[in-house]
Amino acid sequence: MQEPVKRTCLVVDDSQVVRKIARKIFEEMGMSVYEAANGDEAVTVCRGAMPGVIMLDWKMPGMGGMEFLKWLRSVPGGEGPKVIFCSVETDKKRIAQVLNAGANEYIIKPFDADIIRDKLLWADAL
Amino acid sequence: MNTGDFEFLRGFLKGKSGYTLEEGKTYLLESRLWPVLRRWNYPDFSTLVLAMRGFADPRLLSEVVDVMMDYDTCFFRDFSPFQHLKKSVLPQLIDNRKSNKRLRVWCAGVATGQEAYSLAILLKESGIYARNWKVEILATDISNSILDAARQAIYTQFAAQRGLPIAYLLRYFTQLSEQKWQVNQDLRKLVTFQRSNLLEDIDSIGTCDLIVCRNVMVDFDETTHVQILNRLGRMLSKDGYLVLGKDAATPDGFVPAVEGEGIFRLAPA
Repeated sequence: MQEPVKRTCLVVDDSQVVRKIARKIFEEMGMSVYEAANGDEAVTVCRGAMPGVIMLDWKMPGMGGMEFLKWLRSVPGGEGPKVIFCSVETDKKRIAQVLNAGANEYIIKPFDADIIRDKLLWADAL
Repeated sequence: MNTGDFEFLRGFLKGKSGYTLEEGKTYLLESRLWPVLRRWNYPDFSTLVLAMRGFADPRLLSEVVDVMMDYDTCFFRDFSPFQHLKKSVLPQLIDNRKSNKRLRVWCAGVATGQEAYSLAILLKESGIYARNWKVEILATDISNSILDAARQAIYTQFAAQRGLPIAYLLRYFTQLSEQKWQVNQDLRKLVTFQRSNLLEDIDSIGTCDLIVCRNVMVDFDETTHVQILNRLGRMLSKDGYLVLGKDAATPDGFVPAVEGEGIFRLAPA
C-alpha cells in the first residue's frame, strides 16, 4: 500500500488568508505545502499522492471537511495521513464527532504557530 | 509585514513587557497578531501599526501585549519531558509506591498553573485516583496574584490550546465564553496552591517523590542555584525524581534518569 509522503502537508481551507498563514507556519517547520480550497480539490490532490499531514477546515463551499474526512478514511492508503481538523466550532459534541470520524487532532480557530506545532506533536506527525 | 512594522512592534513589546522578540521572527508575530487584526477589522499589518502609533485604543494595545505575553508557559511545555513522565517516570514511581499508595508531587514556580494541571492530568490518566491512592500535588510560586490566577484556572482559547491535545481539552475543560476556557473543578481540586519562596521557606514542604522545577532556576545566580538544588536533593525521597529545564546540567549528587530531558534521580550513596 502507498505510504503518505513524509514532511508534506495539505492545507484545505476556503479562506486564502488562512491558507497563507498556515503555509508559512508549515514551511517554517520544513514541510512542503499544498493547498486546496475545498474537499473536492483535496480529493484530487490525495488521488495523486497522500500527504503526511492534512489540515482540514470544516465548512467550505463544495465538499466540506467532514465529508472529505469520511472519503479519506474509506479509500486505500487514506488511513495514513494525520488529519488536524481546524474550525471555529467549539461545541464538544461536534468536536467529538470529527474525532470519531478519524481526525487525529483538532484546533479551534484562530491558531498560531505554537498551537500547530504542539498539535502535530500530539498527533505523532512531526 | 514590512521591516518597519516589525521593528515598531518589537520595540513596543520590549517597552511594555520587557519581552525581547528575536530578529527574523516575523512569522511568529504575524501568526499571533492576525486574530487581533480580524477582531479589529484592519485589512493588514501596516494599518494595525498605524492605529497603534496614533491615539491608540488602550484595549488594542493591551490585546497586542496579551497575545504575545503568555509565551513562556503552556500545558505540557517542551512536550518530550512530559512524555517521559507519562511513559517511564510516573509508572516507575507508582510501582514503587504500590504498597502504601501515597505520592507527593511538588511543582515549584508554577506561574499561571499550566504545569501543575499538566501533572494532575497525567496522574489522573494513570488511574491511581480511581484506585484510592492518596496523591498530593503542591504547586508554589512567589507571587500571590499569579497564584490566584492559577487557582481560577481560566485560560484564553490560545493558552488553552497551547500544548494541550484536544482529548484533554474535551475531558478536563469547560468553555466559559467565546475566548475563555476553565479547568474543571474535579481537576482543580487535585492541586493545592501555596505561596512559597525558593530562597526561604521550602523545608516545611517536606519530602516529595517528584519535584518539578522547570521555570525558575534560570533567574538565580550560580551560588544560589547550587544551594537550592542541594535543598531540593534533601527534600527528595530516595527513589524520587527531580525535573529541571530541558537543557539543565546534571546537578551535584544527581544522575540523569532520562538523558537530555532534564529529568534526574539522586546518585547512589
